[in-house]
Formats: sequence, structure tokens, C-alpha cells
Amino acid sequence: MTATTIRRPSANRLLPLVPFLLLLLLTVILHGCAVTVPAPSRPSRPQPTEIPPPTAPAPAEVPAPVEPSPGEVARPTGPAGSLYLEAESALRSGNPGRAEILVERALRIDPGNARYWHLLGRAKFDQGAYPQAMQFFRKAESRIRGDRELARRNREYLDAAAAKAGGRQ
Amino acid sequence: MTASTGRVKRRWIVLSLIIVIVAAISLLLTPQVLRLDRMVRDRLEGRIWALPAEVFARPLELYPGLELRPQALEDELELAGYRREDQPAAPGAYARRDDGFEIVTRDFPYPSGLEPSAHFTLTLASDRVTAITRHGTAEPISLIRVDPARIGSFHALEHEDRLLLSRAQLPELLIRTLLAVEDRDFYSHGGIAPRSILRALFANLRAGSTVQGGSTLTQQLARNFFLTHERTLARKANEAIIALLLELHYDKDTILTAYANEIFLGQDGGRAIHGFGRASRFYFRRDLADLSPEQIALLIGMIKGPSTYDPRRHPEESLQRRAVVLAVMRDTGLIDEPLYQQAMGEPLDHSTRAMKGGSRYHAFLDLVRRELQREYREQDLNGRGMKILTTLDPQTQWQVENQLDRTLGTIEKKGGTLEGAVVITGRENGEILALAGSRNVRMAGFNRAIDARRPIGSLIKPAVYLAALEQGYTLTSPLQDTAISIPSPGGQTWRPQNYDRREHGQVPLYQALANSYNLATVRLGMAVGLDKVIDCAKRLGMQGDIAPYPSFLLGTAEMTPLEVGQMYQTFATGGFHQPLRCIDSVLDTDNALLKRYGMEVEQRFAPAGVFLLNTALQHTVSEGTGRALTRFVPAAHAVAGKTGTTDNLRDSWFAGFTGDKLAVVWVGRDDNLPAGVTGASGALIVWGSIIKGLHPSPLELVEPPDIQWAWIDKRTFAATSRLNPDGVALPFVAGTAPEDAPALPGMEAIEQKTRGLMNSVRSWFE
Repeated sequence: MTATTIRRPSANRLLPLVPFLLLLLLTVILHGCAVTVPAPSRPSRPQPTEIPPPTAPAPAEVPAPVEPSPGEVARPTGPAGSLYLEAESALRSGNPGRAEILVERALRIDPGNARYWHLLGRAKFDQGAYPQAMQFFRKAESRIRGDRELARRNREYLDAAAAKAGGRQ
Repeated sequence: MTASTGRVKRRWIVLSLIIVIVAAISLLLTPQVLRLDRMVRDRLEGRIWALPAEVFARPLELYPGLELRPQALEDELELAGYRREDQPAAPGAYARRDDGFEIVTRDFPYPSGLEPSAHFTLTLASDRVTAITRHGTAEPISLIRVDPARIGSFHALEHEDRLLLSRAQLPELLIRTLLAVEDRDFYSHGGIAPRSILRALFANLRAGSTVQGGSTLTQQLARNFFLTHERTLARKANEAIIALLLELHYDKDTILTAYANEIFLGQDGGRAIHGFGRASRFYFRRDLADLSPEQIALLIGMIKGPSTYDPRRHPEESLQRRAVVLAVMRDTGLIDEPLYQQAMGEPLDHSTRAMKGGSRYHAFLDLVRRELQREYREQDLNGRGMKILTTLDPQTQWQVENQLDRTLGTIEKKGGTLEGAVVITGRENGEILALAGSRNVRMAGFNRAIDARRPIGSLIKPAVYLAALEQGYTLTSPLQDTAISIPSPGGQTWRPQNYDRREHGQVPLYQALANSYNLATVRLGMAVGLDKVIDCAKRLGMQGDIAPYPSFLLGTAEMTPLEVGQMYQTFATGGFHQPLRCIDSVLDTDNALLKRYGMEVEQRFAPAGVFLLNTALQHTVSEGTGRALTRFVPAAHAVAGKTGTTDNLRDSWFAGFTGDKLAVVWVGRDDNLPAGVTGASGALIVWGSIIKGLHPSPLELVEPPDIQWAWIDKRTFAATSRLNPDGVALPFVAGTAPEDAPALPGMEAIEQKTRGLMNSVRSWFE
């Protein structure tokens, strides 16, 4: 691959020139062949395909906010607690898609936590995905153990999502 | 004059002859040159820029309290290509200390955004994480994740692996060393450099060995990329033509970048390592940008002979070659004398263990690919450089790989006759954590986890019992386990039998399931109605048309292990259908999110019915056909599961779940001959061997509010006192318990359940 011994035929001194002359000739010919030179520093981007856009489409209508309930739902502690707070913050700042990603990560760590399922439902709710939000609220409901405040709020959201889902059908 | 005229004439003749020859050769060669030209453009603008899709395992989440063996963490770090160092400082390195680890993670693009590198110390005690603190500040960290391991890639040429880099990503020292060693006139020649050839010859003669290459980089690219390695004059001519064509069509940086990504630098089993980027990861476990001068010298030196100078196989030759390149670097002023001396003194990089990539996890990658093919074209998968973040849990997968073949070897009567398949998912989130399609998990082949459709036998029974519970049956509803004849189409009569060919008379519903009584099940299914059982099976996730034959009640339906996993997931989640997922998200080459495969749930059953059924499945393990499982998992873990065996012992199944995982195991033979094992003596043993090593969490079923518990006499099915040695605490939907049974509220119920578990432990020793 590196040093190469070039053997030249000795019989005819003119012969070595032939390929170069030929190449010269062809080079001139091929100059006419216009080509697209790819960008030197990065791969050429493929043509657009049927791959869907990265984010879910915006809901047809902005969901009416659920009436805020008095009282705070206790925030979860534990390793995924920080993710919960971050997800809540994302929801408040109008980024339910990010909240969804964060809560799913929290659920991977603590899958039995009803608050995470509830928050996932709210992330879906805020994206206008009411049927799926209902399902997550139901899942949260099935995991709630004794936390009445969470149960009440979850029920409110479930009813609101059901109303919205019904309205869209 | 005559002589002079003769000479002129001869010259004209020679010249004419040359012109004729040139013209003739031109005519002859034109098609060949045009063909090569087309090939140059097609290949360089197409294939070389094809980026394989990279597939990643799930990231490892670390937090105080996590159960984690030090070796498991080290194995994960090794899989992710981390370097073990004494004092880790750069990303992708770790140190193992007496009480834990020091880790420097790498940047990684997650769907939520780029997560920057973090340097932290992790303390372990008794196989548990006790603290994580940020290096330097000692700030406590509550949660952090290690960037995931690359477990495979999809590319057009299956046996090539490359990590494509742009010109800007190529370190200047690498490029300048490359040019100093391989092609000093790169920026001034037109593809072929006769002067370089002469100089190389001279330098090599003077050095007494090959220190410089004669071919230009462009020629080498032509040679490596387009042509075979045979040494013929014709190939040399083609190489020269292509080199000229490359220079004609592309600028120098494009050619240099193509070269850097294309150069062959070694072999990892069946996988060819192409390009400096992948080679750097493979040999040094570092990104190219992080290489030291001697590592750059080693890589550049390997161009001459990737096999001869392989640092793992031929360390001496590799060191000698590195010294030659370092000398060139010093002589050309790329490094100064002190740096040269220092680099010369460096041992070969200690990352001598090969970094395996793309050669394992065939079954899982097969599933990932099939999922992606539903949405992406083949050329997008092979060429767009997508990053596919999956759900594979390496620790779970390793446990499956370690146990499947070993355990099959212990249960088969004749070596090598049994095959197996395993699916393991997260109990609550439906993520596929591990998959094995064969006992030989390192070989790609028939993927039984996805493709082997086999009768599921008694694994269908929970669907029958759940349908009954939905219709108002209770766990103590009396069933007749006595002979039954059912007329079937064609005038024949179907007479099912129990596995032990005996009748057991009147039995409570939960015991009929726990002991997998066929006669009681058929009677129950016929009483409930085949249509209702089939409807239940479909809501559980069974797909396709199901013929309403009574034999369906005993599991004649054929399913794959993955489909069984889907069905049992609905039990495990308390009645919520949750599509099993192996992909979390797909990012494009610029790390923009293309698609997320988010969690989906759908409640398909009322929680109470599934709770009753799952309790019966726990009894199946504690006192029924699955009781051998207590050899592997303590009875207190209250595993829920079901065995399955088909006619003549052809198929052996076990499906069940713990607090955190659901697993399905199939054991049988590819030729469909009897496997010679039942569900309990085959698949259950494999299931137990795998799950035991995963340190499962106990299963605590979430009790719906409309459940009450009652003490029941196992013989009479009537309410009894807690002091009755034949008594068992069972759950009932409120209002369905035997009339005189006192309801057991709250803590008392828990106490009774605990006592039930103690009974299980006691029976284990009996």
C-alpha cells in the first residue's frame, strides 16, 4: 500500500508516454462531463423521504385547561423525583412533548408510581391526545394507593379528557 | 541527403505509427474509461457517503439505592467502549476503585437533547449504589445515566463497519502525518506523482525498509475503494485512470475525507474496520479527536499492512512500525524532539481487549430491523446515519445468553437436540429487555422468538379463566374435573384428557387453573362460551382469526414467544394492553429526533378480574404446576406464572412475571419431534435459571378497591376460620365471597396473604 516498485518496459521508450497521452486526451474529453461535487466536509444529505416529522401534530384545538383544584399533590421523592419536577416544569412552560419524554424516563426507573402515570396523562392531555390521556389517567387510577388528593385530581383530569375525547368524536 | 531524407521519412513513419497506435488505443480504451468514470461518480457520491444506522442499547441509569454488582457495571462500561484508566479525565474512561468507580461519560444525543459529558464518583457497598458525587465539587447527584452501548449497525454491506467523519472532524496532526508518510505532494499533484514514486524509492532504499509510499493517496483510494488487490499491469492502469478521474471530479479535501473514511484498517471477526474513526474506537476506545501522537502514529503505520501491524496480534511489529512513523513526524517537524522521545516511550495502548461491535444480539437486532422496516425504506436504514435508541438491557441479555444454552444442556436427554427462545420485558412498561431466538445466541439464524409459531398448550388457560371471572365466577367456583365428550364437525367426538389421565372430581376454580386441569378447563370454557373466551384472548392481544373449536380451550392456537409475551403483558399490567416495544426513538445523523416510540396503554379489562386471575397464577407457582420454580425464586417473591405443554411433549412453555419483569420461554425441537420435557421440567427450569440471576423484585399485585379477602376451606370451598389448617385466604370481588365469610379489611388481609406465602414456603419443604 505504500512503497511500490514501478516496472517500466524497456523495449520501447515511447510506450510509457502512451497512457499519459491517452489520459490527457480523455481528461480533456471528460472535462465536459459536468458533475455535482459533494460538499467536502460532510456527507450529502439524502433526499426527503416519507419519514414523518419529528413531533406530533398540533392538536386541532387548544384544550381548555382543567379547573385548578385546591391543594397540592405531593411530589414524588426518590431517584426519579427530579425528573418529575423537570417534567412538571416543562408542562408549565408549554412543552408537553418534552414532559412526556422525561416522565417516560421516570417510569423506567419507578414504574409503579401513580404520579408518573398521572403526569404522563397530563402530557398527553396538553398535546390534545385525549383518548390516550384517558388511558394514562386510568392507569394512574389503578396504581393509586391511599393518596386521595391525587385520586381526586386524576379523576378530574380523566373526566375532562373523556369530555374532550367525546367532543372530538 | 539520401540518408537524411530516409531518416525524416522513418521519423514520419514512426510518428504516424505512434499516432495510429494512440488513436487505436484511445478508441479501444474510451469505453473502459467512460465506464470507470461513471463508476467513480456513482460510488463516491453514493456508497462512500452511506452512513450505517447505529443501534444503541438503553442507557444505564445510576442512582443511590440501585442494586448493582461492580462487575455488571464494569461489563456495561466495557460494552459501551469505555477505557479503564488509573486517572480518568477524558470522556469514555473509568477507574475501578475498592469502593466504587470513577466515570467520565461521553456526550450523547438523547431524544430530550444532548446530554453533556459528566465526571462523577460512584460508591458501592454490598452490591448497591450508596452515593454518586460530582468529581471535583463532591456535589451529590440523585440520578445520572451512562451513554448507551452501541450494539449493532445496519449498513448496505453487512460486513463493513465505518464511522463517517467530515473533513473538519479529522485531526490536523493525523492528516499531516498521513500526508508526510503516504503522500507529501498530495496538494500539488494531479492524482499521479512520478516524482513521489522516485522519492519514495530513494527514501526506502536509504532507510533499508519501506518508510514511504509510492502511490498517491488518490491512487490508494482508487485501489482500496474500487479495485481488487491483484498486482497486474491492467489494474495499475485502471488505478491510474481512476486516480486522474477522482482528481478531475473532486477537490482535494473531498478526496482526503473519502480516503480517511474508506481506508481498511483491520478485521474484527467477520467485520471489516474501515476508516480512521471506527479504527480509533476499535483499537483505542477513543474518539479520533482524543488520540495522542503515538496512537496517531500507530494508526497511520497500520495503513501499510493492517494485519501485519495489528497491535493486538503483532505488538512487536506494530511498535516498530509506530517508531518509523514517529521518526517521520519528528523529521518533518510535526512533533518536537521531547514529544518524540515521550511518544517513543509510551507502551502500546492498554485497550488491548477488542471492542466487539455488531456481532451479538442478532435476535434483538432482527426485531429492531423489522420494526423499522415498517416505516423506513431499506436505503434510509442503511445509509442515513440514523441513531436508533432501543430498549435492550445488556445485563438481562447476558443473563439470557449465559443461561439458555447451559440450562438446555442440563435438561435434554440427548445433547444438542433441544432449541429454545426467550423474551423478557419490563413488567409495567412493555419494553423488550432481552431476546433470544436460539440457544446459540451468537449466530444469526432462525429467530424462534419472532418466527417460531407453536401451539401454546395450557398457556391459553388464563384466558379461559379470565373470561369466566368476567362472567361472575369466583376463585372458589366449583368446577367438575370429570370426563367430557364434545361432538366435533365430521361426526367425530372430542374426548380431552388430563395430563395425568385421571379425573379430579369437583375442584375450586383457582386450583383447576393452578393444576392445569384440562377437563375442568374445557367444561368451564364451554359453559362460559367459546365466543367469550375467544373475545377475551383477542383483548389480551392474540391476533388473527381464531377458529371456534373446543380444542382452542386447551391451546391448539399457535403463537410465537413474542406474541405470548404480548398476551401475558396484559395480565402483568393489571389489564392494560401495552404494545411491546424494542425501540425508544430514532434520531437522524444530526441528532434531530425523527420519531419516538412512546408508551401506549389501553385498559381492556376491569382491574378486579385480572387481580383475581393473577392471584390464581401466583397459586400456580406456589402450589400448582409451577411449584418447581421455588427452587430458583423464593416463594415470598410470589411469582405469577403458567406452564404449557403440548401433545406428546412437543412444546414446553413457561410464561410468568415478577415485580419488575415478564419472561416467556419456549423449549422444543425444530423438527417438531417430542422434546421429552413438560412445561415444568423444561421451559420453567430455563425461566427460573434466567430470572434467578436477575435478582427479581417480589410481585405485589395492586389490589383494586372493590376486592375483599376471605378464609376459604380448600376442601369444601366454604368460608372457614383462619385457624383451619385447610384454610386459604383468597380475594373476591366485593359481595361475591361465600355468604358467611367475614371480610378481611386492610392490614388483616395483608397479614393473611403473608400467611399464605408462609404456607407456600412450608409446602416447599414438605
